[in-house]
Amino acid sequence: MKYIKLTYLVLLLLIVLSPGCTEPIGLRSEDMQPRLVIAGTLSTEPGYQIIEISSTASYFGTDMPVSIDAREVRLNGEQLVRDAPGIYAIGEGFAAEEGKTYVLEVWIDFDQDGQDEYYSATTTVPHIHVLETLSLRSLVSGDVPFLLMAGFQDTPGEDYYGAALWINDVLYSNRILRYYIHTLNNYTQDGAFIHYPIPEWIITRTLTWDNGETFNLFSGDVLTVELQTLSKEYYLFLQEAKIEKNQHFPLFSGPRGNVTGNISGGALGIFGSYASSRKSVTLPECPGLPVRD
Amino acid sequence: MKRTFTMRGKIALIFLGCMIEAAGLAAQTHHTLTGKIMDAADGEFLPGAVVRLINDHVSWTLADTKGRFTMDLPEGTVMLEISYIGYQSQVSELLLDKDKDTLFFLTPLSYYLQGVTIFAESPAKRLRKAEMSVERIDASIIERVPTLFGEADLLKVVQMLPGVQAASEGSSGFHVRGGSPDQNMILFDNAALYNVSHMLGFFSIFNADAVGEMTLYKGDIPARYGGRLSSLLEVAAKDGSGRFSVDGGIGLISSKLSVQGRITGDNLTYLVTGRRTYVDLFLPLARSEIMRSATINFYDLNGRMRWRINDNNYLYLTLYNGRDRFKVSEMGVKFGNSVAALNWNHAFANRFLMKIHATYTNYDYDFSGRTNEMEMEWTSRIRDAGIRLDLSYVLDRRNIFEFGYTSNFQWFQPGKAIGKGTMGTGTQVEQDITMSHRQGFVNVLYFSNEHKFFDERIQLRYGLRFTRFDNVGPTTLYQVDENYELIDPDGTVIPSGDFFHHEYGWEPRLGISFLAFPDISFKASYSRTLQYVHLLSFSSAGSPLEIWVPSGPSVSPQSSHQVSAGVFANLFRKDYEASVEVFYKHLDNVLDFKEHPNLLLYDKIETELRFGKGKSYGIEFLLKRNTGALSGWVSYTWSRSFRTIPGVNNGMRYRSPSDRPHNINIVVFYDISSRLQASLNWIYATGKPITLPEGRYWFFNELIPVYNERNSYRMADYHRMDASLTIRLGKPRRRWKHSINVSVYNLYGRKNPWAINYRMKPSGEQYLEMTYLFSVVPSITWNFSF
Repeated sequence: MKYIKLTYLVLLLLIVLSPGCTEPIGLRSEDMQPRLVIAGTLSTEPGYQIIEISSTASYFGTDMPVSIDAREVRLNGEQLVRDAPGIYAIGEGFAAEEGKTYVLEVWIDFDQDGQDEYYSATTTVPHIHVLETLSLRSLVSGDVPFLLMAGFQDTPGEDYYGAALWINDVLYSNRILRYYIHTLNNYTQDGAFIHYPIPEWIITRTLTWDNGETFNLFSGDVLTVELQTLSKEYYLFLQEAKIEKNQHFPLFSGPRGNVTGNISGGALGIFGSYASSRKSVTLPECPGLPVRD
Repeated sequence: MKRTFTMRGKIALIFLGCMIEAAGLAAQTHHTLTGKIMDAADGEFLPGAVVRLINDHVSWTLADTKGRFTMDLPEGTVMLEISYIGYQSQVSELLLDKDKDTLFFLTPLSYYLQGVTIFAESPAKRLRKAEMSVERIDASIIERVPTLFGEADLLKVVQMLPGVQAASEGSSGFHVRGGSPDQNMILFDNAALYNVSHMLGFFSIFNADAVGEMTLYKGDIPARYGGRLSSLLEVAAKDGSGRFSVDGGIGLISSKLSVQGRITGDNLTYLVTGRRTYVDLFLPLARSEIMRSATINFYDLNGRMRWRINDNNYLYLTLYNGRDRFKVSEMGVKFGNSVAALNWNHAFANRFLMKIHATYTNYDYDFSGRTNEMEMEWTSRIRDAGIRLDLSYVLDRRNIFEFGYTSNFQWFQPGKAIGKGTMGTGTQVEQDITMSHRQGFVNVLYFSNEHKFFDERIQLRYGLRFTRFDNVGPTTLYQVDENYELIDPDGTVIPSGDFFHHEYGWEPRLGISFLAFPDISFKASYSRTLQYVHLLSFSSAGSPLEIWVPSGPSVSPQSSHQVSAGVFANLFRKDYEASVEVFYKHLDNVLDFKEHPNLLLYDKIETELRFGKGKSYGIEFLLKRNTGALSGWVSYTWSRSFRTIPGVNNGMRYRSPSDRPHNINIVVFYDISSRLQASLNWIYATGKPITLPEGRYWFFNELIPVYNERNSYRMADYHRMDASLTIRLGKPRRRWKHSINVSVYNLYGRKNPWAINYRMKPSGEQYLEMTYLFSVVPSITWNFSF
């Protein structure tokens, strides 16, 4: 009996200790011919808004994508000013108008054959959905973790939402995977007043991000959420980009593919827009959160 | 002096010779041999058992429904071979000096027999039959193939056959001749199954103790079957032997028990099997407290009853219920199948047999979670109820005519998610996302004939299948235009019982075999198949959260044409069987998805689908040894598989996920002694196609990958060796038998890639990281019977 027990335990241990894991592999793809990338988003929030033009780099190389200049960049017919290599500013304090359609046009000799190629894209700025309430909902009585609850009036029909988070006025959603997108189009609450829990950001004592970076939270910290109503093409672009940046496993993931943009002429990237509304909430005193020194 | 003959003279001599031989035969005295063939264990008749005069390809007959046979044989000593599927063949020498009546008892292939029967069909029969691309595996072999965690698994054996590849490491899904996993029809006692996975595919729902035999049709599917493009896997439940016995097995992560016997008299036998895992045992070793309190297990129960009402009527009942449970903290998923199949075999006369099958399948899953103030539940369900009538009439010794009718009603509830909770200032909220129900009604008429010519050297099998598919309300119908844009975004509400759309099609089947030499035959076949239900999943790992939808106005049926040809041979006194088969398959309306599709809980799924063409072709080599202490098979397959679908990969041709040109399977069984059996298998397959980025650009502080072509790269090649050793304990010929099976999965610890993801060094340089599932996995099982 002792022998059987021992054998069982040894085999059990072997199974537990021999699961799969990860390791780097040397597989590489071929280097791609550089492709043009045009990207820019317009916001109803006044600020410094830009159009960026760049060229792709090889995926596995050490070279990074480089900014490149166009001969001419126009927004609704008005020429934009080059502010830095590949950066075209729309204007200081520019704010996109709700419901207005903007046309971006770019002339550039990307293939360097002496002739300019023409690229264009359009976006219609959505209407603002005012973030009327922002609250914290404790998942256990009165303590962390908290869910951020956004309250706003949805409009019937297709709406595409995004949300960005600031912690003490520092933008936390500065990467796609930290930015939240959602659509309520298929929900029975379409057109109703929504109390929406934002699952991307479960507020605990320490937030750990996708790259392993951590951030400690304290009682009294101010959380600001910007509710963004996204143009459809921008929402779809962000949705696909998030999929591409997430890990892929056979159980749930489909084949990889290019993120679909809306730039005509074969360039990569996106020209989109969003309407925004902000609200803040302060983290309460609770056993799970320390007080900032 | 050299004598020469003219052509006319030669013909005259041949004719004369034939006449002399015929006269001699006519002069020979004949006697009638009658007899009965019965099961040595329980005395049951064995209808369909084959009686063959050895060294004579012509003189053979089949036992009728009462196990009786009659043969006219020449006077003298005759050697007869009596064979039946699942039983050890018997050779008997008889002195036939007068009419005789005799009894033959065949012994079931049992646990203690020397050697194994791998392919449950006699080599001679396999050679002659006008069917190809078919593999029949006896249940006894399933238990001998070493597998993951020591759990004998039918589907893992299927994955080792030529032309078949596993969808991914550990998965129950498989590709047949370049087809996708949803293009395989899996029938369990004629009941259609939609998901056959336990524990994300690491195990299948088939308990080896409950399976009698399985047949895989890789393309040349008989006319009575259809519904999927690539293959049919027909799994027959095992009958109870009639003698009371208990069999069981205790493994590291699961245990099983089966009981069989007879209920009253000699006519009613039963077999009940059960299996349950206890993976939960490992969880207390986990670091996380949440994992320590988690639940991960599955169970399945099989019941089989056979009632011999009388010699002309047999009734079979098969029941199955299995369920997986996975729960961590307040989140959990449950899923499983329930199957019922009632089969009635009735012989009107010795030549006319009727089979009626009534089947019901239910597959459902339930994904739920709760917090203090909120709860959600996501459910999905598929039901399939069908009835099939198969009639076969033996016109004469050269013609067997089959015809019949099949009707299936399919209910699909692709998804229903309900969230409830208290929000904000105590407001009660209920969120309901319900995908429309979809119903399909399939009706099929078929006929086929098996015709034998020229002393049965040529066998021709031809058949035709007519299918009609109807969409039935209630549902909300979404239709798309040629750009896959919704024609009416709100859809059209279809009332209950409304037959609002139909499809129909013809599916011809043709097969021919030519026995060119006593041990060599040539075969060819053509088949067209149609598929009216489609799996909306890109998971290759047997996800339980799968969605099936039927064809409709914007979801065309998939179809295929397949031609195959091959040469088959029995070598070295029929100890070895060899075959070479080539195939070409053309697919129309083959389904794929747009880039980054939205498949979960999305009602307007028609916008996410893309249809196009596909083709696959290849050559399969197989050499197997059926008998002796050393048996097994070696197979090599070279095949390619491509898709061309507008809207996918810029409309350019791309490799399908199953395009893995080289595939080798070596499966060896060795009976070292009457107490020791060893098994070993080695699998090799070209790496799976993957899509890798070739460029990148910045957006939102992230490097977004840029791709050039879908599936243009490959993972590292897959190879793995497994081994097992069975030690029989106790004394032979005792009722109490027990054995220990020790097996090792992935013997040399090959790290086969399961997934590949991108990583970036601090320098900004990207690299790839693979995830592999298993290293060396040993296991031990104790089996017993009494």
